[in-house]
Amino acid sequence: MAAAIAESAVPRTQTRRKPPRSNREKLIAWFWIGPAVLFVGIFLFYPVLDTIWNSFQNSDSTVFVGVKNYKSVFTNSALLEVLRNNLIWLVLATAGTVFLGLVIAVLVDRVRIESFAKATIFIPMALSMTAASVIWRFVYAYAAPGEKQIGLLNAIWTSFGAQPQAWLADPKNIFLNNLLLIVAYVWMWTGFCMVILSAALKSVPVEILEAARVDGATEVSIFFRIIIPMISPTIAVVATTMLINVLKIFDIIYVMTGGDFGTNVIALDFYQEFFNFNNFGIANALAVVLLIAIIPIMFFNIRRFRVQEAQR
Amino acid sequence: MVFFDRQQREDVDKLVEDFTQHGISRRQFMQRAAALGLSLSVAGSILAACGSTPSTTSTPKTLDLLNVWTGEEQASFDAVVAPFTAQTGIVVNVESTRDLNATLTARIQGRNPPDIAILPNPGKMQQLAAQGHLVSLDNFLDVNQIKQDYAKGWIDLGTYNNKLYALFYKAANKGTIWYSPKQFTANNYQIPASWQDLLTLSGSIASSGKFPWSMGVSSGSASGWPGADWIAEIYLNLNGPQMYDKWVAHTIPWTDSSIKDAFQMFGQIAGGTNYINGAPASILATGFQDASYKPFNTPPTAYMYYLGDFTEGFITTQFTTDVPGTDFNFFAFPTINSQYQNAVTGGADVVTALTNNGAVKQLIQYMATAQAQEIWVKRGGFTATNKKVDLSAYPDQVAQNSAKMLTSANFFRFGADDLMPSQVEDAFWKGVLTFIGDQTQLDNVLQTIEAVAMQAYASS
Repeated sequence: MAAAIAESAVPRTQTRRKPPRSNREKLIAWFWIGPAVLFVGIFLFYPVLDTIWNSFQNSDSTVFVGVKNYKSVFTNSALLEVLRNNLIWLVLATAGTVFLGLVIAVLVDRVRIESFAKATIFIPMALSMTAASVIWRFVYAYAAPGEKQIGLLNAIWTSFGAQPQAWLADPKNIFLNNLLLIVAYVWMWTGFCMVILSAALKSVPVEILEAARVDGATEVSIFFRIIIPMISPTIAVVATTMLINVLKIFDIIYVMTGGDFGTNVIALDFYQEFFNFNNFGIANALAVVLLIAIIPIMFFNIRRFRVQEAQR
Repeated sequence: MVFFDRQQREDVDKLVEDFTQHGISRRQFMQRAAALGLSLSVAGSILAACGSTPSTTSTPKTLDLLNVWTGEEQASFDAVVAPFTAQTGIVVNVESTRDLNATLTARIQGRNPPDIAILPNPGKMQQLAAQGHLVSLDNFLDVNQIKQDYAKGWIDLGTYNNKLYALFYKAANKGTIWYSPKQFTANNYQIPASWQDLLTLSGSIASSGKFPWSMGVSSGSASGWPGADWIAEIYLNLNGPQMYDKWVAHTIPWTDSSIKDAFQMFGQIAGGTNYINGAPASILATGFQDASYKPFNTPPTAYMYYLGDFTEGFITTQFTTDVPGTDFNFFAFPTINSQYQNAVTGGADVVTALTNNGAVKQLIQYMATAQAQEIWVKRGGFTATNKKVDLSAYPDQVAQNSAKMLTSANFFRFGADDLMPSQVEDAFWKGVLTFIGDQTQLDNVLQTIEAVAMQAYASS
C-alpha cells in the first residue's frame, strides 16, 4: 500500500489535450502580456544583444576584433583563475547550502523548539549580503601576534596557543580564502533552503513513514529511500535557485577581499574591467560567458515547468 | 533624417555634444559633419537645432560636482565652496563617492556627465582627455596667472596635447617617514640620512627585541597601493627622474633591472628579519590607517612608518592629545643615491571640467586662487599646490615642513602608480601583494605586470 501511494505522487508524463483557443482569446491574452513583453524586450533582450555584440569589439567598442576577447578570457591566467573560482563556488556553495538546509530541516522536524530553531537559522537571510560580508570580515580579522585579537576566529585560534593567522590575506592559501568566503555565503543562505525543504518535508504523508517503520525500515533508510525521492522536485527547485544565485556572486567578495588573494569571480571581474579599466570588450565577453553558464540551468528549469504544467 | 549606421549615430551624438558643451566652432562642426558623411543641408539643420551660439556665455545657477571626499574631507570641501556660493549665488551640488570610477563611467556613458569631476589620479584624466570628454581649462583660466601661481611640474602634469585639462588641487607629499621624537630621544636613535643608515637603525632596533617598522597595505580593492608608494619613492631616489619617467611611460619594460632593484630594496624592509611584527601576513592584513597608529601607541609597537603626509590627519584624529613636533613628526625619506638627493614623490587630486558654461568657469577660477586653497589648509590635512599660499596658514609646524619639503624638492615626481593606466596600476598593486607574501616570486610578478602593460598600451 505504501508503494502504491508513493507511485501516485510521481508526476505523470502524459499530456492532457487542451481545447483549441479562439482568435479573440488569443488577442486578449496578448493584450495582457503585451506590456510585460515590451518591457522585457527593451530592458532585457536588447541589452543582452548589445552585450553580445560589444563582446566582439575592442575595449572602446569602436573596432571589431572577432573572438579575441574570448581567447583572452580562456587563455589569460588571471581570467582562468576567475573562472576556476566560480566553479569552486558553484560546487561547494550550492552543495553546502542545500545539504545543510536538508539536514537541518530533517532534524528540526522532530524537535519541540522547532519554530525557534528555524527562526534562528533563518535570521541571517534578513541581512543584506554586504552587511553579512562586513560581519564575517570582522570574524576573520587579524591583529599582529601579541596584540588584542578582535577577530572571532583568531581569538579562538590563539586561545589554543597558536599564532594568529591572516585568514583572508594569505596569497599561499588561495583555496582556503575561497572556502572562508563560501562559509559566509552558506551561513546566509542555509536558512532559505531549510525553510523550503522543511515545508516539503511536512508534505510527506505520515502514513507512509509509519508504514515503513512498521515494515522494519531504519531511520536512515527511510531518509534515503522514501523522504528524498518524495521531495526531489523541491530539492531540484532549491538547488537550481542556489546555482543561479551563486553564479552571480559579487557582494561578498567585493567587501571582504576586493578580489585579491585569488578570490576574484566573474561578476566582480566584469565590474572592474568595465568601470575601473574601461575595458568594455573583455567585460562584455565575461558577461556573455556567465550568460552561457546559466543557460543549462535555465533550460532545466523550463523543462521542469513544462512537466509540471503538463500535470495540471 | 534617420541614421542607420550605429557608429554614425554615435559620432553625430558626439559632434553635437562637442558643439553644445565643449564649444567647438561652427566651422569645425560643419567640417566634421561633412567628414561623417552628412550632406550640407542635414548638417546645417542640425546646427540650427543646436542653437546659434555655444553655451559658454550661459551661466546656470547650479553645478554638479563629483569627488571622492567623504566624511571629514567632505566637510572641509563644503567650507571651501561656501564663500563661492555666497559671492556668486551659484549652488554647487557635490556628489561624493569612494567608487568614483564606476559613477563617472556610468554618467559619461549615459551622456549625463557631472559638470566638474575631481579625480584622484592623473592617469584617469589623461584617459578622459584622450577620449574627448574633458573641456580644456585654457578657456577658463588666465594662463599667465597660472604659470606664476603653480610650479611647472603641476602645469605639465595637467597638460594633454598642449592644452591644460586639469588643475592640481590637494597635494600630498609622499616622501615622509613618521616617527615619535619622544621615543627616538628616549632610546637614543638617530634620524637616518641615508638608506644604509636606515637599515643600520632598523637592525639595531630589531636586535634589541623591538619591531622597528610598521607597515600595512590593506585597502579593500585598492590593496597594495602603500607598497607601490614605497617602491616609487625608492625608484626615484635610486634611479633619478629620467629613468622614472621612462618607467611610467613604459619605455622600459617592467622586467628591467632598475625596477627589480627598487622592489628588492622595498623587500629589505618588508622582509627584514624581525622588522615587522607578524610579517608578511600582518602587512597584507593590516589597513594603512591602522598601521599608522603603531609608533604612537603607549607603549609603542613599532618605531617608524612610511606613508604620505596625509598620515598626520590619521594620527591627530586617533591621538587627539598628541602635540605635533613633540609626539609625532616625520623625517625625509633617506638618500639612496647621492646624485638624486632630496627627491620626493607626491600625489594630488585633479580638478577637471566636463561641461563648458559660465558657472564651471567661475568655480574653476575660484578653486585656482590661493584663498580657496587657504581655507582648507587652515583646517588641516591639506597641502596646497598654489605657490602663493602663505606657509603660516598651515595649522602646525609639521604640516608647514611637509609643504615646504614638497615645494623645495630638487626632484619632484608624481606617484608612479597614479600616472599609469588603470589596469597597469591595478596589476602593480596586486603584484606588490604577491611580492610581500613571497619575495621569491619577484620575477613572476614583474612578468605578469609587464604582460598587462603590453596589452594596455597596445590597445590604447
